[in-house]
Amino acid sequence: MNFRLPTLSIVLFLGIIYFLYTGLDKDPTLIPSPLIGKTVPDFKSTDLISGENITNKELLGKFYILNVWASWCYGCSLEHNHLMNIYKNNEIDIFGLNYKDEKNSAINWLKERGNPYKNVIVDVNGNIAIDYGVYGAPETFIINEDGVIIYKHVGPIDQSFYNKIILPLMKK
Amino acid sequence: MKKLILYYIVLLIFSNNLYAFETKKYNEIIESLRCLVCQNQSLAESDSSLAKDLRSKVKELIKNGKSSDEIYKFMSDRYTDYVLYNPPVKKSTIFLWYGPFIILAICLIFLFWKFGFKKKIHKENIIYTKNNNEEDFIQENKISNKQIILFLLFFVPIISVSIYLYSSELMRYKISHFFQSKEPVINITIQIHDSLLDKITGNEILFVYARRSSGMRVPLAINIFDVKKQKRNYNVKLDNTMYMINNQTLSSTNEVIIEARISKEKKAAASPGDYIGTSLPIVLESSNYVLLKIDSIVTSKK
Repeated sequence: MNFRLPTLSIVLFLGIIYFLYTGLDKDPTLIPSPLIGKTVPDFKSTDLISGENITNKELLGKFYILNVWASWCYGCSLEHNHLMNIYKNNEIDIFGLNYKDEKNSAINWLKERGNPYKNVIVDVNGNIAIDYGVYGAPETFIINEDGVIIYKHVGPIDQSFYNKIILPLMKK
Repeated sequence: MKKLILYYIVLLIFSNNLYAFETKKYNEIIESLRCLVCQNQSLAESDSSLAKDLRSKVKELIKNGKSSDEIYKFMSDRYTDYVLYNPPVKKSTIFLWYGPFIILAICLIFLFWKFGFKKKIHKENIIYTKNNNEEDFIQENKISNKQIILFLLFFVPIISVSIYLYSSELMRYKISHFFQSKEPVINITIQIHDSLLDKITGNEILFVYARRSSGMRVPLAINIFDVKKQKRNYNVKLDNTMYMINNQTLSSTNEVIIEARISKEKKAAASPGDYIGTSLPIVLESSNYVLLKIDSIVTSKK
């Protein structure tokens, strides 16, 4: 007993130190989405380009990517080429959620850089984005045929996102 | 006529009270929701556009007659419990709430058991071994375990209380306000973008500095680090001691821009191919928290 007690306290102490130390490297800004595994929230909006009404019911039955973007968003300019590549591969539809943007600058952005989106859902005041738990553009959701969110990525995507995440999920 | 006036007065008082009640509820709710972009601020304090949106959402929900609990649920359904400063008691948070008390209780039980036990033996020994000094000496020696026990008695509660305080974000926030020093300190979390992370060989140097948002570009505070391979986050502190030129410290201005640059050539001046992240202008308070993303590449000489 006399030998165990100090050893035990030291082990306990080191354990606590380790526990706190591992917390240091964790990224506090990455918040897991509680929406993964749930169906997409209802929304009613218009298409950015055609101006037609669009609701979540029209997106049902497809496996698609929902990309939250805005023309004022710097990270979106970084990922745009990768979205264009995915679009050119022509294997999966990309829908855009235009987050708190001006209509004209959003349309100009797509004219300048190309339009990878099948439809762009307009969200002027950010209300739809709140329902999706968006806390900053760009964010990318992967949604399956049942309308269930199966993946969420925060921040700009790159080529490895397509190869390592989208493709394996599509094959399932 | 009198009735009408009375009616209006009653209406005025009533509507005012209702308004005051709603405002109180509104303030309470936004005080206890975390701003997700800035993280060290509540929704009430933050100026970020998401915080503004969420505030107006809270207002809208109150007007629709939703209760506080329903509003908290609305938020945590979308943004996880992380958005709540007072997380609910759940499987995943039970240790957060009760862990320190459990540890404390275990220690106390252990200590009482240990102390009581030892004391008894000691007393018995005093009677029993009065004529046997040698055995008495051995027993005395064994009780020097007291030092360890005292150590545990003070140390374990301190650790558990500090973990408890640390895990309760609101407390942490309040404490940091309480101990505010007057000299500005900038705590920066630097994040390297994934696409750049793969290109880092480990031979680079990370410069982190604050400069005036306008006027002279000389760094008011600078800190230098070795870059490690595959290390994504760096926590950096800038304060008044890290000046380059005398009298040009963080205290000499109230608005700064933070820049972080990964230099391959290990040079103080930016050169093409360096990775850089620049913050928006920051109004300095005594303690500041900044999240800085290194996400672009220097293309030409500035």
